[in-house]
Amino acid sequence: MVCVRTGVGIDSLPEQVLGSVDPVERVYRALEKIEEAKGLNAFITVDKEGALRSAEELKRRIRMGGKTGRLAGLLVAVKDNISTKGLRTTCASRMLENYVPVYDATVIERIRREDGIIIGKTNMDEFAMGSSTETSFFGPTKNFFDHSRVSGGSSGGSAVSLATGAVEIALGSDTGGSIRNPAAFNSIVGLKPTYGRVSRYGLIAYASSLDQIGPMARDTLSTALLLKVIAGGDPRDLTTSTRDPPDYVEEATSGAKGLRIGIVKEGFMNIDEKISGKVYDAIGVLEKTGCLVEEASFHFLKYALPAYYIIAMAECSSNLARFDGIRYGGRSVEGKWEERVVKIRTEGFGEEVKRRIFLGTFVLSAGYKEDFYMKACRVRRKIHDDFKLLFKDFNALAMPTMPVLPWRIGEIVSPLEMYMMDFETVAVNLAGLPAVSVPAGFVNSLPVGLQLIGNHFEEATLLRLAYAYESETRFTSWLRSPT
Amino acid sequence: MSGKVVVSREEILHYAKLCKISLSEAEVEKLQKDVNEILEYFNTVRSLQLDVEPMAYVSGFSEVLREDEPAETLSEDDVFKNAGEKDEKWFVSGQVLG
Repeated sequence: MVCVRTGVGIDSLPEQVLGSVDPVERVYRALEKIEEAKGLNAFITVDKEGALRSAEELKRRIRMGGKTGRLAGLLVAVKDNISTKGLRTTCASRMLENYVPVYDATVIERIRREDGIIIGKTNMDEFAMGSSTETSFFGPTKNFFDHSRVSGGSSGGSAVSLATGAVEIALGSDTGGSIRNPAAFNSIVGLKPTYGRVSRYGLIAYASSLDQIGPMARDTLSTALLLKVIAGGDPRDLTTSTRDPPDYVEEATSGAKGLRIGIVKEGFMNIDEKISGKVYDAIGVLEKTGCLVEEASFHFLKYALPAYYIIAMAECSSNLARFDGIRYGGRSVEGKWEERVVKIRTEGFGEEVKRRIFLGTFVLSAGYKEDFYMKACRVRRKIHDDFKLLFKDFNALAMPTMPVLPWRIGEIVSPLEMYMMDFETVAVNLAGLPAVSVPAGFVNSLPVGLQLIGNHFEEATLLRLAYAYESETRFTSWLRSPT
Repeated sequence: MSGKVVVSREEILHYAKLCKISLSEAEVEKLQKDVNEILEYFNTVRSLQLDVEPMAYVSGFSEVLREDEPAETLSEDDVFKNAGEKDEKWFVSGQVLG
């Protein structure tokens, strides 16, 4: 198995580590890269000591001829809403500025078990509520290609940490596009798995029926490798599927010939022609590799965005009720219970988080629940069913990942205008489907993403398409020379 | 079901209280403007007539149960590690009633 990015075999990486580049050396190199790119603000916390400790332990084990895991020596960046035992996990919020989890998320346990080295926690929109990483309490993460522009979000830090070359793989989370959006904006690969494919245990919840942790990397096979490690049932998350995940790396390389792709025409409406042109070109590459491409229609797509925001806000208002400062996230404040809780929440949450809690409380309140929340849930059913109909004819659907190019930091001031940026991504979450964003080239030197959507538990199909496309385009080289 | 939903200043204050969030005068104004703009957009969904069952979760599973057996859990130290204020084995929350 040869990795397109490095030209070395992923399976033989532990041996490579044994040879010239030892894991400790790799950690030092990553730390240097993180330092060089410090201005981009990709990391909230860098765990130098923890990473070195893991690397030294791995090095000892390799020397003694011990068994090593599938991620041996690979450096991992983790979005800061995923719990890491003993390592500060802030959700980019003042509320959790000093929160140190006492347990690992299941995905973290699995990465550690396979000898991945976690080097730090990445920046994000506060509580993953945003599309640009601008709502972070720690300041925005900057776009890799233009430092005056946004990195996308909410997993902006993970995407930029990959683009800078500091890490090989990263974890993001995707509630309405938060993996795919920054992947598109920084010309990397980001995959949102099927709802229930990856355990959410230890993910600090935003909207539980939509949230999903997923892999991000510069190339398809690294994405597949990380997915293989984190996927699978978990008794601590009863929404996970118990069906065994396939070997995604092997599946990815099995070719895409004969796969049927539907181009969702509604996904190209009201979009700059240059952007849609790039996405059509990318689909053309897939056609060249032997895929069958046809136009598909999804009339109901336009209702996905308002339905998504109603549901996400409703769930957020409930999930974030736990932040009362008593069990965690607390500072010592005076007063009665009510006064303390109000003070802690008022000071701890940023503006966008407050707005979503407020609207979520509103749409769930007596008198409005039926009109807003329940109606949105009906739209959700319709979108789910319409997708299922399309998957009778197609193996995958293609759309742009983002309707626009990365905007300037601070450029979008209206909350509603910001929500509109998620137009292409949210339907996938409502239906619980897997989707991947792959680099589709550049417009005005800024990256564009191609989004491929699959049927439930068809991540392997998406990875086959992504790998076939990558083999033709060699898009990993675009990070060094944008074309 | 039809008709525009407009949130008044009083409602903003009422719901903010339910959210346990206090707002400055400027924040009340800004939130009222944002909320009404967003609700108007949400109206596109509100006015739809759909003859399907609501879907709250996409999952093929229901009533996943496990044996009710004691399992490993957090230590007492860990439970209190992130507490705002504690008193021996108690979280301190401030007076609730009165």
